[in-house]
Amino acid sequence: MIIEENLMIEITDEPLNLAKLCQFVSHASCGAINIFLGTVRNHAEGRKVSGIEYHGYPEMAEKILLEITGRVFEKWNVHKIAVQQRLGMLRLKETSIIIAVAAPHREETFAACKFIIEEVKQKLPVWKKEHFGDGSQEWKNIKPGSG
Amino acid sequence: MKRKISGEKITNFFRLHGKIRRIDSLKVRVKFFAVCRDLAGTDSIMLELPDGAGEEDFWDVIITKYPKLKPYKALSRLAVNLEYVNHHVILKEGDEVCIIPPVSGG
Repeated sequence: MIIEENLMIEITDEPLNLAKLCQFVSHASCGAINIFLGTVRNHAEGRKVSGIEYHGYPEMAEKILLEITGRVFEKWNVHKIAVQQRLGMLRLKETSIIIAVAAPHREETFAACKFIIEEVKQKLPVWKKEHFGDGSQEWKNIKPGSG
Repeated sequence: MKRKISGEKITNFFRLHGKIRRIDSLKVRVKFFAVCRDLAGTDSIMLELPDGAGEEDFWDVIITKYPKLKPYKALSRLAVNLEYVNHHVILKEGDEVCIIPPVSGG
C-alpha cells in the first residue's frame, strides 16, 4: 500500500472499502468527490459470466498507479486521490476497482476519474480470468498470435 | 559446458541465432503472469543469458526453454525492474524481467 497525505493506492485480496476511500479523499478544500467503481457483470462478448479471477503483480501495479496518479495531479487541480484494485476470485456484482478523486470543482473530478480508469485498462499489470456459465475459463484479451 | 575464469566470470556456451558461441553470461530473474505462467508451469525462474543480451536474445532463450510461449511473444511486453521497457533494452546481471501479456485490470 502507498499512503501519502493526498494519495492512497492499494492492491489487495480483501473486499474493497468504499467508505474508507471516501473518508480518505474528503477534504474541506474540495467541493466535489467523484467515485468510479468497476464491478463484475454477468456477460462478456455474448457469453454468460459466473465470476472473474483477478491476478496481478502488486509491486509493479503500485508503481504504475503512482505514475498515473502523478500525471493526474499535474494535469488537473485535484487535491486527493485514492485507488484500490482487488485481486482474487470475485463473484457477480462484486467491486474490482474503486477510484476516488476529490477536487474543488466537479469538472476536474470527472476528467481525472476517466483518465485513471482508461490508463489502468492500458497499463496496470493485472489480468482477468473469466469464468463462464458453461464451466470454461479464459484469460481476457489474450489471444495467441503467430509469434 | 562451463569454464571458470579468474574466479569471477562464468563462460558458457550458448546457442544464439543458430550458432554455438562461447560468451560471458549474466543471470536474471524472470516472472511469468497469466497465461504465460500457466504455460511455463511456474511463476518465476532464474535465467542465464549471454552478456549484453537484449529483448530478442531474451526471447530466444525463453522460447527454447518454453516453446509454448512462442505465440505470446508478439502479444507481450517486457517489464524490467518494475518498468515497461522498449525493444532497445539491454539486460544486466540481477535484473528482474517480467513477461507482460495483454493486461485487463480495472
